[in-house]
Amino acid sequence: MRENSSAADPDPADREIRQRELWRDVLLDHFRDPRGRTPLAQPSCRREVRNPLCGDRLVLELTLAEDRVREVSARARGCSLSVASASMLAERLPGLTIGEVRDLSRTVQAYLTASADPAGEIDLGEIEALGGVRRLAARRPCALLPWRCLDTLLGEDAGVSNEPLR
Amino acid sequence: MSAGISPAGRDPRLDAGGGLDVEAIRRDFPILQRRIGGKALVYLDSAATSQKPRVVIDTLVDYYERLNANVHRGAHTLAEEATEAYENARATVGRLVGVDPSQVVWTRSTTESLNLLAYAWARRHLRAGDVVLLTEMEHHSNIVPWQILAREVGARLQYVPFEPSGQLCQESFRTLLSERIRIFSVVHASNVLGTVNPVREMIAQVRQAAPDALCVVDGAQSVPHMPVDFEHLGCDFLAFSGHKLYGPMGAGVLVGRHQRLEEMEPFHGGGEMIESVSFEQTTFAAPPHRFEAGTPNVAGALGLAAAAEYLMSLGMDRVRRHSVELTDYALERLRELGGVTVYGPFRGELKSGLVTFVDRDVHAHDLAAYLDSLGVAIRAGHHCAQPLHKRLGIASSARASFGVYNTREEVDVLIEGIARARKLFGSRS
Repeated sequence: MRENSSAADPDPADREIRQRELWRDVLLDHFRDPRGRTPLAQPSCRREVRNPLCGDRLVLELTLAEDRVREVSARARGCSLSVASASMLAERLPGLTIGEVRDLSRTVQAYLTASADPAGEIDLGEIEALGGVRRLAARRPCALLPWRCLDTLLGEDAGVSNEPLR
Repeated sequence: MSAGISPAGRDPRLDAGGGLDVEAIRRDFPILQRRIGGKALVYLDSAATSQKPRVVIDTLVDYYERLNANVHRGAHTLAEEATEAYENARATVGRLVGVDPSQVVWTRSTTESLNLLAYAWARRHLRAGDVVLLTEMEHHSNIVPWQILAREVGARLQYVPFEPSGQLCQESFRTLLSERIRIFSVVHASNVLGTVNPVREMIAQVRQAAPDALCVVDGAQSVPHMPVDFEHLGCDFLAFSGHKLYGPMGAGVLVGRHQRLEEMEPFHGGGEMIESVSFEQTTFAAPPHRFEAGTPNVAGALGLAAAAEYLMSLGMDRVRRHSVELTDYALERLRELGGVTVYGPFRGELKSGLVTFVDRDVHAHDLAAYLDSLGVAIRAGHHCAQPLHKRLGIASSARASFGVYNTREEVDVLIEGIARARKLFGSRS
């Protein structure tokens, strides 16, 4: 975990604020140094989405082989929540089976929309740091964007119907 | 208005130099006592909705405690008193913009006022091939009703573009002038750029090109912040909202020229708007009641009138001066801070009391959320003006907007908050 990597921590008051509010250290770390920003040379599938409310954009690419995710590129342009969420997704997915990805996505979305506690069968790990949006309905779409995009991408690939974003 | 005037006769909310004593005004607004997460509330979102002075809140309570009855119906005392108060409120609000009460139509909001025009006037008068002339800085509420209607009848929408300065391009405007214009609907002050448009001059030019064109002014962001005189504008209709004018939500106004009101069909059908009804047909009431079907929002109308009285007691010239000074101060502080792109004119005099900007490092939503943790309320997003943001080449922006109760110290808190937000979000590689 990167919970203590407070490279930019100039103000104790800010530290207090961000612990209390949305921005836990692990989230800021993903925001400042997002994983999975490199475009994939030969993605198996690709999708670009926007959050029309704030203009956030995301390009999500996966390479799949033998029912597993091999590589992920998640390039988000937007607020800290959407960038960090995309980064966490990119870090977490490689190596998982399609079924595991679906379970993870469902769990993450249930968690972020406050319909379920994180204490389930799947350990969310760093993704729990996005939990600040659970009580901020206006910011939820930001954190959900990459996961909803993932759903449509897998839906497309696996022949499952697409759900509209948002 | 007598409330708040000291025994010596001088209103403590007015200073000797022709301005406002903001500290005294702040005491009139109960919500400003609130603390947000332990911090004093710094409310910089008055363009979304203004806060309400005690006198407005008291008016709402007083209505329901003492007067409540349906208006223009029953002969009992309460009904008489409620009706009288309701019609007096119409006169008060008319006085704010210099019109007779018979020209004041109650609506829910600016949005409803504009929709009323689209359905009650334009639906009858707009033909295929006619032009509806708008501008690129319209709020969605002054675009969408016209789009719906234009699609229905086959009319064309045209938009006056704006320049990088944030002002409407008058040259392009002149090239768009033609006798095909049937409706010209323009925002008096942009809710994003803050730009105060030269609507009087533009309306005069539209009338030269198309004498019969309906000229409409969206005054949602101007009427609360500066002296606005309906006759001076030269328009046919002026729409504005109560809740941005320190009045309650759900009460708005459409002010119209007599002749135009007369030629307009009802918007909604029902009680209140009729003269006589048989099973076969209905004779409609005269304006303004023709457009007020159903039981109206009487408390809202009274509250809006109390707000108008409040503003008039301060004096719209003083209100305007405070708004200009505070906007200039905010623009200056943003310039000093650097690292932000400010949209719209860079002079308070050309604006209606707001600053809209994008920070180089911090996303508008992150900025607004961070500022909230400091007690500062600003707006982030597209402010119901997506086409405008598209023209600016940005998805969203941050907006701080001011009211009579805001101070320079509050602008300082905003600026310091932006600087702190950069430390948190800005070190991104």
